[in-house]
Amino acid sequence: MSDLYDLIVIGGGRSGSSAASAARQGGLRNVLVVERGQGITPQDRMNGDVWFGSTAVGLLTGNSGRPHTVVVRQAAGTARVKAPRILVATGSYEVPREALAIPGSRPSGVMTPALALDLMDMGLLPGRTAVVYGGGSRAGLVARRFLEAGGRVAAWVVPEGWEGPTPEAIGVDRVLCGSVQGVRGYPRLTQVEAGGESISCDTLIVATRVAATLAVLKGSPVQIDKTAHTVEVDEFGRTSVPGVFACGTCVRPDLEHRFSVDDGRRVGAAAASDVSVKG
Amino acid sequence: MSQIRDVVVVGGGIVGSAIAREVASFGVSAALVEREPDVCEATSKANSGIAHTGFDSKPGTLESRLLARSREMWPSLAAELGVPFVPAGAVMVARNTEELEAVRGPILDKARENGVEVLLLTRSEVLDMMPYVTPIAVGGLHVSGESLVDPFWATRAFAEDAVRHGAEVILGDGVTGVREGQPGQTLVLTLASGRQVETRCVVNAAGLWSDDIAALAGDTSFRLTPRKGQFLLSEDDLGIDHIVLPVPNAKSKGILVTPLAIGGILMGPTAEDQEDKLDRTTTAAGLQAVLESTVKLVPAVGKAQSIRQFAGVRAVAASGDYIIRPSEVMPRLFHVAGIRSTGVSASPGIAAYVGENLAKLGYLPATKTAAAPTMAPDTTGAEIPNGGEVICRCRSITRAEIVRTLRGPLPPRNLDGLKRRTGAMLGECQGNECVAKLLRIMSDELGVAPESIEKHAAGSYVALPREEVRS
Repeated sequence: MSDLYDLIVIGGGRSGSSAASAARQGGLRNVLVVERGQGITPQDRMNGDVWFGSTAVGLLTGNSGRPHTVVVRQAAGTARVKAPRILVATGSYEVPREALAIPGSRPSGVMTPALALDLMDMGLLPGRTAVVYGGGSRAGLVARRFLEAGGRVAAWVVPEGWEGPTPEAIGVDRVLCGSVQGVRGYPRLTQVEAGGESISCDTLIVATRVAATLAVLKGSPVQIDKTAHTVEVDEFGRTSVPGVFACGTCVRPDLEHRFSVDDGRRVGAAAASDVSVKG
Repeated sequence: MSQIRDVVVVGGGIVGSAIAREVASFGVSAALVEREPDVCEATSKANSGIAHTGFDSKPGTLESRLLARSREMWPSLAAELGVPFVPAGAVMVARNTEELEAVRGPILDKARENGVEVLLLTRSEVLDMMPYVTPIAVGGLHVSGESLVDPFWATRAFAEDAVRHGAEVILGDGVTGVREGQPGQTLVLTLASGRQVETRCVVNAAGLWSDDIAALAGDTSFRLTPRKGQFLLSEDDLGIDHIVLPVPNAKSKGILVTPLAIGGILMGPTAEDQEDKLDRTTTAAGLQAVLESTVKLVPAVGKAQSIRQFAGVRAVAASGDYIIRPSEVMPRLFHVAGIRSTGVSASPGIAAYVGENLAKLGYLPATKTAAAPTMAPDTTGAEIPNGGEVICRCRSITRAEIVRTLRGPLPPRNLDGLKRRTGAMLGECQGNECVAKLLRIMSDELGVAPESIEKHAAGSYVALPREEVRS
């Protein structure tokens, strides 16, 4: 059967692509990577099957040793692919203002770096004056891009104890230690309450943390840690369902993706060598 | 001002939209005027999404009569309009003997007087039916007719059906003036754009602003007070399959936990009287109050991850009942006001009642013509290129679903309108991963620049062209 693979990796980011190569090195020949984006990440060292522009929307786990099915949606329609081993490497998304429950009005102009960067890639600007919230590299990147595009960064709000370059070195008006406590203005953002001050701005870019992307597992029996909202795995990356593995930031959300490559290699190898999986 | 309308409805909330549909189905010339760029932009969009039976309404009021009428209408109406409607049932949970006395006494009596089927439950019946409810529950009242309805979907379905019956829906253009036209014959509405609309009858269904519309006609016979309600939304359903109600107090039905017709659960609302009709801000204290109250009913909600918080503002009239009557100052202006927190529930009954009244007053024919819709109910036949592409990952919404919505009878012009019609942007990333793609699709379909597409109200721009920033 042509649509039966040895392993299907859901997600071709840092951990997914590392896992795919490790699994190939471990002896699995037919490895398919299902990736939502259109391009390949720089970390990618894959040379096998990759489906780009393909979103895995469902995982139907096979009973008693039967292969698992991944439902994939693509521009042309829906495909179903099967494998005895599935590796979930769906990564994470940047948590929005709503997940942080920042109170206040509900204006436009509040976003995560994902949207701010997409808008700038379209040749648009998310606003004129921004507050960037978060101490990580994504916050730094989005602040730099916003400035390069001609905007002003009124404040970069970072956690207490943060160490980094001076405001002058980055080109932001100021660096402020603390948290964002409120949002004002309607229909467009006009002010952000941060570190006990009120800062005039029309844009708030929230880059404080990431959370696991679990949409593909909705309705599947794969156990989710109810408190951490991550995929539950053992030391080999095995989930509660035999033959289904997970790795990367959908298991351990990390803004800086520090563990993703190593995690992918380890779990990819484990998936290839797991003798309890047949096929 | 070439055309004289028979009826113009002011206000595109659920009540105004239901009335527009009712009026249009008489086969007359009708229009709906809404100030915001989409229907369902105020009280109708931020509420608990319950089609309420009226078991606890004040017997003998117009509100209780129209709630009674509506609860008979909802199941078949929802099926006809294709609106998500779940007869989940509600349980009012008593947590101490005092509350149990209230349930067994005045609350039970009122429900019976209102003709609503209810059943007293023992403590073990409550806990068997709803294992997620607090173990300190001592008893409860089951109201099987309480149902879940999606208010966005219902409002839009009413408005779209009005369009199919030939009504014009005028969006993003509010009423700034009402005056006599031909003496004793017509009224003329002036809109913010300067457009004049002449009509034989105006229905004032402007919700929170219906007193302001009345005042434009020199009618100051009623005043409305805004009351804010804050909500928390979670995608974790925690197994909650019934509406869980507290025993009410004098000011509010209290803070409840309800499943949603479209999935997930909702906790709220607070009841905060305020001055500003537009103040829909959430506060840390308000959200804390919602959590503290609902944890007492369903302990597990304390652990639920909230993906969104919002507030709605409802209109409270001093009289405590609906105001549905012609204006005494300007008889061709017909008020439908003071709908409090029961607009979603009572909208079908209100629309039918208003239709009958307008017929009696001679603005509508004595009987419905049951005119066939002038548009096909569905224009989804066309093949959409690359339609299978998933645009919204959180909710698995495809390009085809987005494009078909943009080609529908009442296409959205902004992101929130698209969100409510498709479910895109409603998941955990709250649209941050797909808004750029959506702007491109909307731009292509609607033939406008991406940066001209707004989030909700006028002025809620999402992006600026770069030249504008540099200058």
